[in-house]
Amino acid sequence: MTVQSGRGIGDVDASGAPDVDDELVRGFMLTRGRTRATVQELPIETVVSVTMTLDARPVACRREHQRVRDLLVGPMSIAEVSAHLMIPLRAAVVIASEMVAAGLLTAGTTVDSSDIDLLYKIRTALQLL
Amino acid sequence: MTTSHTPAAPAAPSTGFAVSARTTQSAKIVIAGGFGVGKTTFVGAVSEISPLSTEASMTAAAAPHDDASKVATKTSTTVAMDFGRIAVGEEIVIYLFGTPGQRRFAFMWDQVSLGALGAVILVDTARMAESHAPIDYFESKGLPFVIATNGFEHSPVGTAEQVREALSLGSHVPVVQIDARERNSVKHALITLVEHLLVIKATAASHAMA
Repeated sequence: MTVQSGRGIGDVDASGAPDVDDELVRGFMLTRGRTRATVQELPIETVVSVTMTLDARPVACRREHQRVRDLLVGPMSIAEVSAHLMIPLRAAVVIASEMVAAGLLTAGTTVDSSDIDLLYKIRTALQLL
Repeated sequence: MTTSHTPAAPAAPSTGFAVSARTTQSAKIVIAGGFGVGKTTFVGAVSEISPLSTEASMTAAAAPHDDASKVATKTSTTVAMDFGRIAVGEEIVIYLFGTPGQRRFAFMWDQVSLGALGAVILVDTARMAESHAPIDYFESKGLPFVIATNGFEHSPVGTAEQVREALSLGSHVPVVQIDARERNSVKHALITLVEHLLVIKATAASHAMA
């Protein structure tokens, strides 16, 4: 990640105090102001990683996408993207969902409590924790 | 996956799950509770990372339109949400999201609870009333939950039955007494939740067979 890459919600104003409203605006500049994705939105726990075959894809990589790609040296959830880039959760959902739809990111699957085998696995893992 | 955070060469072909999310499964558990009840402490006690903080904003979450000018009105409410994660084996990750229990923050509950495995509602027995809003919400959404009373010195210690009665809960809802600072105690609360889910599944299955 370059030092010059635009910082988001953690910026402070000249007085040194964060301005909540300005921060919020800056967070959504990453999504060009949009609070809804144009594609199916992914849950916040979805783990994403950079698509390895990116070079083969004829998809333009915008600057805001680059910030997400710079962050993703390994897989992490959309919530973690939000926390590390210091952008609102919704902004991270919008941008990550659109990048997955565009093939720029690969998404893992999310699971719920309907998978009983998974629940047993989780219980065992918690007991061993 | 915690050992695979090495950047791949830019043009490297996909070499499998070590650097890709493709085979990763993730799930989430909601940790709900009032201000200062110990949500972040709870998450931090078992998380493999220091709890991270993200921000949800009401205006953004509630706005049905794409209007940037509406995003940052003076009336927008933002709330920090701390979360952590637990790796389960190589390819399953559980995220724990600590969400404020006050009704004025209900706008964020949908996003956090939709598709969640279940919830742990952290309760300070000196401030029982704060638990009503999340209990009502999770009941209305059919999201299973357990009650974990966090041991504060000033707070009365009640039996599980007394806690259920104070919260108007049925006998099927597990109540555990915990110390959110203690890893084993937090583990116990989470295991209780997962076992509660298994009981619910087993009950549903036996009903289906009858």
